[in-house]
Amino acid sequence: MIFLKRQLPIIIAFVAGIMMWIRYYIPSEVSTNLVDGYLEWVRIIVGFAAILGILSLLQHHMLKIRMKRPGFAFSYVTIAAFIMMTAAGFLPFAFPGFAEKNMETGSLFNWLYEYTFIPMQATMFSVLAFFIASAAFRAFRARSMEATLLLVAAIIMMVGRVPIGDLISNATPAFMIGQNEYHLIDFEEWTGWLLNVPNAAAKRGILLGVYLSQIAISIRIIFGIERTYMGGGD
Amino acid sequence: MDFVTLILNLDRKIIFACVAVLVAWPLIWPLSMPVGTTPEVRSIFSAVDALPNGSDIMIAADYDPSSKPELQPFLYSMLAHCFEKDHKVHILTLWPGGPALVQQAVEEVSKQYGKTNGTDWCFLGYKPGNAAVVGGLTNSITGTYPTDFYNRPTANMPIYQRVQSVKDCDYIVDIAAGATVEVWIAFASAPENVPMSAACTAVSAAGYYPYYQAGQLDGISGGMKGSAEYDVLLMDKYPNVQGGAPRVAGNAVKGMDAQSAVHLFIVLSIILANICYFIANKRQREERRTA
Amino acid sequence: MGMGKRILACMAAVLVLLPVHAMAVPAPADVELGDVANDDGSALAVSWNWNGTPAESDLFSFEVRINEQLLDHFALTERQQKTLTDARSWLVGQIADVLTQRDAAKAEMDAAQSALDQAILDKEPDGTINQKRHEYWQKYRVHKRLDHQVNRLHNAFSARTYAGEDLRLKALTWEFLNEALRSGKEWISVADPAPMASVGTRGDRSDLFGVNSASRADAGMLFYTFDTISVPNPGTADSSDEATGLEQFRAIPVRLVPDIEYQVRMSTFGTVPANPMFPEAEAGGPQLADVVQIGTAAPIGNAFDKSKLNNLIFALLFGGIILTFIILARRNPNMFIRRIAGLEAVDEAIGRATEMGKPVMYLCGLQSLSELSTLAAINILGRVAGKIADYESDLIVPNRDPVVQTVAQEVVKEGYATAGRPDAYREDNIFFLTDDQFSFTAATCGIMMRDKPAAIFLMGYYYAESLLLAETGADTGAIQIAGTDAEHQLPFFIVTCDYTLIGEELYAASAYLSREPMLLGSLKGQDIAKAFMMAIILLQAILFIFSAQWDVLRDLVTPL
Repeated sequence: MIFLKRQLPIIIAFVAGIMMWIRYYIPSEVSTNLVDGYLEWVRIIVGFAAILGILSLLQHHMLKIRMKRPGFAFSYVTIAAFIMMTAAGFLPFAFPGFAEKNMETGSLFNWLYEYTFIPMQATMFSVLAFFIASAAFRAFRARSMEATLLLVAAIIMMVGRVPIGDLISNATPAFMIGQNEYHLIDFEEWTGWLLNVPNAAAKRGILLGVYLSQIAISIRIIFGIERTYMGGGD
Repeated sequence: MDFVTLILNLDRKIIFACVAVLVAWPLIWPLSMPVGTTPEVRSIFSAVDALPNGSDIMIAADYDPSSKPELQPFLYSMLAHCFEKDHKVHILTLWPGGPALVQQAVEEVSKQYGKTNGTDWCFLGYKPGNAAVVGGLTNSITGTYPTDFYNRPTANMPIYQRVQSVKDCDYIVDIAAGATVEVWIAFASAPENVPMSAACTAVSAAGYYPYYQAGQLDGISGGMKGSAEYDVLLMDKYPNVQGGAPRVAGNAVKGMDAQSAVHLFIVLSIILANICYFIANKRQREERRTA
Repeated sequence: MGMGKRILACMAAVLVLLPVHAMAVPAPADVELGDVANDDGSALAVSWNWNGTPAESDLFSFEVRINEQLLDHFALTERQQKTLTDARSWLVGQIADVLTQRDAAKAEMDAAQSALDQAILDKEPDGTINQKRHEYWQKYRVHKRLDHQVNRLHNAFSARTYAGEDLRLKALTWEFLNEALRSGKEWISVADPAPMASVGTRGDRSDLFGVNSASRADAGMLFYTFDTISVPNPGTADSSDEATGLEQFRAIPVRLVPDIEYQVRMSTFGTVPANPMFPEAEAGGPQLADVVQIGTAAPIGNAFDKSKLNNLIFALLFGGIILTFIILARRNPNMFIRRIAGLEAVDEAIGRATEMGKPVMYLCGLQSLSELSTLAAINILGRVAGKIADYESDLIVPNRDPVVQTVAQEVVKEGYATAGRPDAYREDNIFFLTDDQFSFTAATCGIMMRDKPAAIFLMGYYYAESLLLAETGADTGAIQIAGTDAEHQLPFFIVTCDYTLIGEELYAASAYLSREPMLLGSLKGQDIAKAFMMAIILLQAILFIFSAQWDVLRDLVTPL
């Protein structure tokens, strides 16, 4: 039993990990097929896992209704929406008022997707604008030197990325250095610099660190040193 | 409660209300502020414009309705630009929410330019599996998408008699809400030596600057501002793109007024909040001293 | 008089046209053909120099000669031939009626559609329009059903004629090739003529190819690689075959076959410019300018992709360093590791939840388990779950991926068991919500607002929802600890969360929390590797400032 739970998964991780690494350097059909096969397996497993997910969802909400936990009325909505979408997608006939069955254009499923799901999704995304405003208002305080730098950079970016920044820049006095004309305040130039120099440099630094960490964690997993993800503890 | 404490403890719902008003106002009564252009967007425009007429452009519209306001105007302008130049357009999406948006855009614009489906453009539709799909396209477009979005076999289409894979395309444009730009760079643009540009949401634009600097992207268009810039460049060079009804370009420019207003509001409110913060700090210090 | 003018015009036109023709198209020089040195044997490469600058209208194309080897490759064996013939007669027998019915149904459907369109245009009463729409739907369904039948039969035919390769396609290719030979066309073009100006200079990547492997001096050489030839249909290719309804091909793209010798030639084309003196003359069409015989080569499969050599060196080097430090850590377990504030705060956050009698919420990000950031988040969850069990708090873990959910359940269960509190584990608290990004966000924010967790952990990879989650969490007053390698979401977490693990700190967290020497050792190895990278970057920057260039350094970081 301990072999099935501990050693076997580590052996699988080791063999698969090493194999997928080596195949990266081999430009043959076998290696392409290996990846294709692997991706197919992933798709199959994920497909079955979806059943687990659905069971978990239903179980969670049933329990909530049974225990009358706070907000259990929403669980009714969830279950009703789940049943309705499933029925619309699976039942082999066209619902009254709709030309098509299942998930085709002109079906109930498609109508629900386009006229309820998509608008709700767009709503969630637009909430972002409001949250950004309130988060900026609350959090951008010049508490320290670093926070002040962040604050100034944020203000330059916000003004520089909209037409009003150009209006302000053009209103300030201009002077010539050599062949080029410069404005005293030039938000467009400043935002360009912020994005191209400090932003790109910081991002590169973070990414290099991340990629090295990913190599390290891959090695730890391949060699079975890191096993927490198997629920194995230490 | 005095003004300073009031501001520092402002209920966020009041900020929400201000943002709502400031977004709605300029959309109803436009201010028509002039939009300046940045080198990042200019280089996308000039790259597409410099290609000889009739070149093949692969457009990936990898976004869904949640980022429609930012990216859909770019798709409209890009399509208008391509058709204006008689480029052949190969368009597809790697996002399940994308097809409806692409269909709407490509049908509308192609109709205005009198372009034929299958000859001047082809909408390949959606396929799951980002890297796998892009990798497949570098082998064969018609192999990866045997039928197009409208369920017509692609192999017989006139557009695919000359073009077999991504490497036969002259340019790639990825309009992306997520992380598909890296996929297109790594699996299509870099290995097949096809130049490419990206239009992405304002949030993720900053993240692609290293690729822009390394020359892996010709240009970056960030969010609605980038789309507006592209509109402006397009309307400057081809004044008739604006003429037809419904007009195919200029939607993002309208949105810029609202964005200007909200940005200005946030900047002013941050400054106000900081002034109040300093006053409150000073008071605290004085209180401590007297105590 | 009129006649004389004409003759004069013709002579002038010839005079104008001829030199343009002969001079405009630059001739390729130093042409070499070879096998691509880093593929599976399916591509050939050609390199050459243009003498002169090509005009925008100058085109080139490559052609391959049909030879016995190629024909043999596509010839069917007797058994294959029989399979194909049998399957075809089966299909013809089955499909004839269906095809006629489908075509009739299509005509009816189209008629119904135009009737409907007309009714809408004429603004007829709603009743009539609905009636017409209903009729159209009926016809549409009939046509669709028949279309499905045709597709099913075609699929069945494909299944019968597939034996490791598509026999019909193979037979057609053989037929097309033979037909081309019979009509005296022994050269087949690789692709349509392409503009010369569009060819990339592979420049400093020349040693990628079998050709010109000797030196980097040929940086200006142009390269073109091809892996398919397009075998054209010699007959007329209508959209489908009448008897079977199967699609017909205008051209069949054929992959190059490994180890077959291909004879290749190159053609250049120039465009005839429009001539004002002779407007009737055909202008604009490409005209053949020159044909250059290039030579013969066979694509050969390679066991190792040489262009990834630097990658291999780096992988072995870094892997070696990290493994060495892991081994060293077993001998000397007391390694120094800098303080990470976000992880020091884990105990405080969980303690606070216990004091307040409220749950702890943990998110593993929005990606699947195959992403390393999710694995890192799961690893941290394992450590955190143990501490939560110690403190006797509740742990809520909403998930976006059912696989992640299953693994999270297992990890938390084990964490509780290790802490000696298996009874406190509640499987129901680690649940799946939905795999849609914003639906997941909305549901999670809802849980935050209702349950008001005292501590929220946001680990793993996040997209645009990062701020929605973190701002809602901040609004509920929870202590928030975020950790992500999604670098463009970092600013949002930094302004809304109490502590943020930046990039690699997320990956270091599991080692940091467990204090296990072997895990800490890998962190040390990582630091050494990072120092090495920094040295290379610094050196390259200095060399760049002094306008110097070391090929070795460049080779290390760009594909060879």
